[in-house]
Amino acid sequence: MVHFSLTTESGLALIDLSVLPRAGIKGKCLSQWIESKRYEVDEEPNRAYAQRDGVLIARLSPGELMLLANPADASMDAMTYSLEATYNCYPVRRQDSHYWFALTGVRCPAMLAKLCSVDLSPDIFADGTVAQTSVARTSAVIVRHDIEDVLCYYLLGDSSTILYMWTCLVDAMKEFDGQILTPPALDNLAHKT
Amino acid sequence: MSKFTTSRLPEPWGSVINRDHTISFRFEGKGYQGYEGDTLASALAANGVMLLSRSFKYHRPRGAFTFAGLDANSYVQVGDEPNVLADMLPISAGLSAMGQNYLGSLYRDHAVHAGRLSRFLPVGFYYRAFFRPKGIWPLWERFFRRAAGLGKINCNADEAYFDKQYLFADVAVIGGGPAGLSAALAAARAGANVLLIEEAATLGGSLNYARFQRHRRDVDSLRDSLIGQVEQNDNIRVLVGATCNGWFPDNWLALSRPNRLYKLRAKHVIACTGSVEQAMVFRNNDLPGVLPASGTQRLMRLYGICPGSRAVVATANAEGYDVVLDLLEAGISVQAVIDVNQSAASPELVEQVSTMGVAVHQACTVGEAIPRTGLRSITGVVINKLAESGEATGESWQLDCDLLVTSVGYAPLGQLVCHAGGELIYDDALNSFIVTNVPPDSGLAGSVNHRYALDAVLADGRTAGLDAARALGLNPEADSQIMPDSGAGGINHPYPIYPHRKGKDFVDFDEDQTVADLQNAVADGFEHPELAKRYSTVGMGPSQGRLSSLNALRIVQRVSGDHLAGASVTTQRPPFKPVSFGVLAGRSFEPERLTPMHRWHADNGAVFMPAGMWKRPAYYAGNKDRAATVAEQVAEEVAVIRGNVGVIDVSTLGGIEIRGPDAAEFLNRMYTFAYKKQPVGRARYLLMTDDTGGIVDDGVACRLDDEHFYITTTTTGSDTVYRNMLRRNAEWGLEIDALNVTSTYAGMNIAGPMSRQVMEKIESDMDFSKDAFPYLAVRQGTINGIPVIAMRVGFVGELGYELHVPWTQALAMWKKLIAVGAQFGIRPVGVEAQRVLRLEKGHIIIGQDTDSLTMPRDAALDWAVTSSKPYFIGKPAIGLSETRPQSRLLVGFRLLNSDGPVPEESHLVVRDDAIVGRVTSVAWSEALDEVIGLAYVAPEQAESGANFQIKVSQGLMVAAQTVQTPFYDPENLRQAL
Repeated sequence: MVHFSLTTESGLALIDLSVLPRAGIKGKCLSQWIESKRYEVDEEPNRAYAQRDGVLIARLSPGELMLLANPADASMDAMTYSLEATYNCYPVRRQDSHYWFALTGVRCPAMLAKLCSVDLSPDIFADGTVAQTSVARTSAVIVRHDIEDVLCYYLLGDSSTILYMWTCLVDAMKEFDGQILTPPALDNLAHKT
Repeated sequence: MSKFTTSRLPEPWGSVINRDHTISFRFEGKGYQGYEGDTLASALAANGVMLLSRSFKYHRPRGAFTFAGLDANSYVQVGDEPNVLADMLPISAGLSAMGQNYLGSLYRDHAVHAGRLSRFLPVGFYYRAFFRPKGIWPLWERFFRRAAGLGKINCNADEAYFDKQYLFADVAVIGGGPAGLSAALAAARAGANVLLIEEAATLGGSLNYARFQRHRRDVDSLRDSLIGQVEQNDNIRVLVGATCNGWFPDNWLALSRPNRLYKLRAKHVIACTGSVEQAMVFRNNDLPGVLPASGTQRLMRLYGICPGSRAVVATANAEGYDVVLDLLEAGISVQAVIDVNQSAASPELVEQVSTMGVAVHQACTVGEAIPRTGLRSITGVVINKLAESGEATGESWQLDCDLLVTSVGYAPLGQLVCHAGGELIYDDALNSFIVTNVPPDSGLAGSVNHRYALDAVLADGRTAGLDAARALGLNPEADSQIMPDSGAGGINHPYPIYPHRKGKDFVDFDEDQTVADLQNAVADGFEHPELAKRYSTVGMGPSQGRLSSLNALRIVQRVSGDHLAGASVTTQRPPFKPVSFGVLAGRSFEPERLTPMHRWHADNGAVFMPAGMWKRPAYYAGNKDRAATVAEQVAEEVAVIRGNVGVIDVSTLGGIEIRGPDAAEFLNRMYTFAYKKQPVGRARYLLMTDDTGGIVDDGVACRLDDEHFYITTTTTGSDTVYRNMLRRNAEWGLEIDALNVTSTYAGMNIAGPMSRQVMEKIESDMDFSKDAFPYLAVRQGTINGIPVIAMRVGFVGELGYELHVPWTQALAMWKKLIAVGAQFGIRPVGVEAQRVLRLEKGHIIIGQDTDSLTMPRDAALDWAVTSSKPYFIGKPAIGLSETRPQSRLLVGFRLLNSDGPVPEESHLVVRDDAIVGRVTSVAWSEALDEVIGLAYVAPEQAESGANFQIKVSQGLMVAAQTVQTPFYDPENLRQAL
C-alpha cells in the first residue's frame, strides 16, 4: 500500500473506508425520524445529502436511508448502533451488510466504466447523485460525494464480496496508474481548506 | 516485361510512416524492415512482397487489395492468432507472422493444383456428391474438416488479457473521414457531446489519399484544417483504431480494439462509414498486382510505396483519372488508360492525362490479366474493344505492365446500419446500393449516403451533425447551405463484369466464386439472391460480401431475368469485421462471496468447494501429521459431531427479515406451513413452492416478536426468494417490510452432544439449559458482548445451536467458540461431513434431492403443508396434483451389498428396462456401517423393505432396499436432548 497525500491532481485512488461507521434506517415514517434528528434530507430518492456534522445521508428510496460517517471524524460511531426502532422505523446494520470504498480522482469515471454500465462522468452524474446498480456483476450503491475539488465516488456493496470487488477495482485501475491509499488521505483532503 | 517491384516514394508520400524509426519483423520466417506507422502489408509491399496468403478454395496467391482491412486477402497468422488483417496490423519489433491456407509453403503451395480441378468442383458440388455410396460421407468428412477453415488455432494458447468498457455519448459519429469530421464538428459546436470513432490509426479517411479531382495539396490542407478543428473542440472525443462491429437496438454500439470491447450508448448515431471500391471482374482479376484505385492511392499516399513500375489503369469514372495523375506524380510509367465508357465521363481529365503522354483507349475493357509463372504477379493485360452494347467486339491486344489499377465504382458500407434495421437496395440511377430504412435517432453522411463529391460530402456531414443536435433538443445554427451535387452520377459502372471463357473471373475472392458459379447457381434453380448466396456461398466469406454482393446481385438478376432495381442485398449480421473470441469474452466477472471466517478456514487447512457464488469449506485437510484420504477426513469430522462437538460455518444461508403487522400473513402466503400461531421465540420449518407446486426453497422461520420474523433460506436461494417476496407483495399490498440480511449476519452451527457444555462455558446473558432453551426455541441475547440470534435446530440430528451474529463480529465469535470448545475437542466441520450427517437423518437438500417437478408429497414433506390455509403459492397446483396418481416418491435406501459398486447421484432407478427414478444423494455412513442414500422410486417401491435396482456405471445393476428415514436416531432423541 502506498501512502501519499491525495491532491486534486491525483488521477485515481482507491481507499477502503469499511472501518468507518455507517448505518441505515428503514420505515414508513422516515420524515418524522429525520425531523427528530434535525437532518436535512429531501424527499427525492437516489440523492445524497451532506449534513452539518459531516454525515452523508443517501436516500435509497422514500422509505430507506443510508448514513455514512464523515471520514474526517468517526463521530457517527456511537450512532451506528444506537439507531432505535422508532417512528415506525427500524435500524439496518449497514456496517455489517456493506463494504465501503472511496474512489477519487479525475480518472474514476473511465475506470468505473470498465465495471459499471451507468454513465458516471461528472457532467452527467452530478455531485450528490446515487446509483443503485450493478458493478462487476454484483449489486452496489454508488454515491458521488466530491471532497473539496476532488472527484469522489463512494462504492458500497455486499460485505461477502469485498475481496472480489477489491480485486476487480485494483485490476481495473492498473491502466490508470491508480493508487491504493489509507483513509487518512481522504481525511487530510477534507481538512486542507 | 519487367519484374514486379515496389519501393518507397520520397516524402511527402507516406503520410503515416516515420522514416526515422525502422522496425524489424519477420514474415514466413524471413526478416524484413519497415517504418513506424507501417502495417504488415505495407511494410512487406515496401520489400516487394505482395503475396500474403492463399485463397480458400483454389489456393490462389493473394495480396492485400483494399489496404483498408476490407478484404480477406490479407489474413495472416500471428503466433496463436489466426486471421489477423495484415493491412491493419501495425508492425512492431519482434513481430513474426505467417501466411495462411497453404500446403507446403506460401510460395510453393502443393494445394494450388486444386485450381486445375475447378471444372470438377462446380458450385454446390458438395451438396451433390460425397453421399454415395451409402456410408462414404464420414470418410469425406475427415478430408473436408481438414481443408475447411482459415488459419490455425492453438487450443492450448496462453490466456491473454482482454476487457470491456462502457462509453457514453450524445452523438456517436462512426468514421473519421471528411463526412465524419464535418458531422462531428457541426454537432459539437451545437453543444453535443460527440464521440468520433475511426478504425484507422489516424483521422482523415479518404482525405488522406484521394484527390477528389483537385490538387492533392488542397486536400491535405483541408484535412489538416478539419482535424485541427476537431482536436481543439472540447466537446469531441476521438477514438482511433477502433472498429464498430455491431449496431444494436437503442443505439448500443459494439466497438472493438485488439484487447478491448467498448459498449457505447449513444443518444444519436451518425454513420459516416464510407464506401468500398468494387472489383472489376475479368480473368485473373484476383492476382497480386491488380489493385483498386483507392487501394493504390492508400499504398502510395499513406505508406509512400511505389506499387509498380509500369501501370495500366482501367476506369469507368473520374477517380481512375485521379490515380493516373497520382501515378505520374510519383514517377510511375502509365502505359494506358482503359476507359470502359463509350464516351469519357470527364473530357477534361482525358485531355489532361493525354497531354501528359498517356494513351486513353475509350470503349475498351480488360479481358484478362496475364500472370507471371506461379501467379504471384502480373506481366501484362489483354485489352478488349467493346461494342456499344458493352459486349467485346473480338478486337483485342496486349499491354505489358506490372500493375493494373481498376476504378469501376463503389458500394456503400451500410452493413452497420443494416444491423440496426437498415436495408441496402439497388438503385438503377446510381448503379449502386443505397441505404434505406435508417433507424430512428440516427443519420448517414458521406459516401455511405451516396455523396462522393468532396463539397457534397462535407455539406452532408454538416447537415447530419446539425440534425443530430436538433434531435437532442439543442439549438444549432441554421443549415442554410445549398446541397452541392452529390457526384454520385456516373461513378459506378452498371455492369463491370467481363466473363472469360476460361473462367478465373472472380466475383468473390473470399470463396473463389466466379461468374460461371453464379450463372450455374441460377441454372440449378437458385434464382433468388438469398438462395443463390447459400447455394454458391458468395458473400459468406469473412468479408461478408462487401466486395462481392454488388456484382453478384448484378449477375444473378441478369441471368434470372429479374429486375435489378429495388433488389436487396442479403441479410447483414454483426460483427462487421472478424473479431477475436477474446474481445467478445472480455474480462470475465465471476463474483465470489466469502464468509467472514474464510481466512480462518484457509489458515486451518480448509479445502473449499463452490456453493453458488460462495466458497465453503468442503473439509479441513491441513495441519495433519499423517496422510489421510478425503473420505477418512470427512469421516473424522462426522465422528466429531456424533461423538462430542463440531462447528460448521453456515454464513452462506440466506437471511431475510420480515417486519410489520402482516408479517405472519405474508409468510403464510409465501410458504406452505402455518405461521400465524407460531409463538414468539420459536422456530418453524419453511417450505416454499412455486405456482406449479414444485419445491423451490426451504429454511427456518424464527419469530422474534409478533410483527418480526427472521427467516433463513437455502444458500443459493436468498436472492431469488427475496426478489419473489418483493414482487409478490407488490401485488398483495400487505403491510410488511422485507430486508435481505444475508450478509448482515454470519451463521455458525455448534452441534454435537457436548455443544451445550460449550455454550454454557461462554460468557452470555442467555440460558442454554435444556429447559430454558428447548429444541426449536429461538433466543436473542449476547455472547461475549456480541449480539446474537440463537436457535436450536437439528439439520445434522444432534443437540445443537445455530448462532447468527453480526457480520463484522462473526470472526471474533468463531474464534471464541473454537477456544472455549477446545477442552471438549471441538473441531471445524465442512460441508461434506454435514451432507453425510443430514443424510443419516434423511433431511433433504433443495435442488439436490428435489427438482423443479418435485411436489411436497413426492419428497414426503406433506407434513409441512397446511392445506387448511386459504392460500399459499402453489396451493391450487398441489391440490390438483393430489387428485392424480403419484408417479414417484423420494425414499431412503440402503445397498444390499455395501462391498459392491456404489451408485452416484443421478444414477437411474430402473424397473423392467423402464426408468422410474434416480438417486439424489448417496454416502457411506460410518455410524450405520453401510452405504445409504435417497432416491426417487415408483410408489409401489416406496414401502420399507421393498427392493429395487439402480443402474450404475458400465451398465451394472445394483440392488437396493427401501428404508424408513431417518436412518440414524429414528426417534429424533439426540437433537432434542
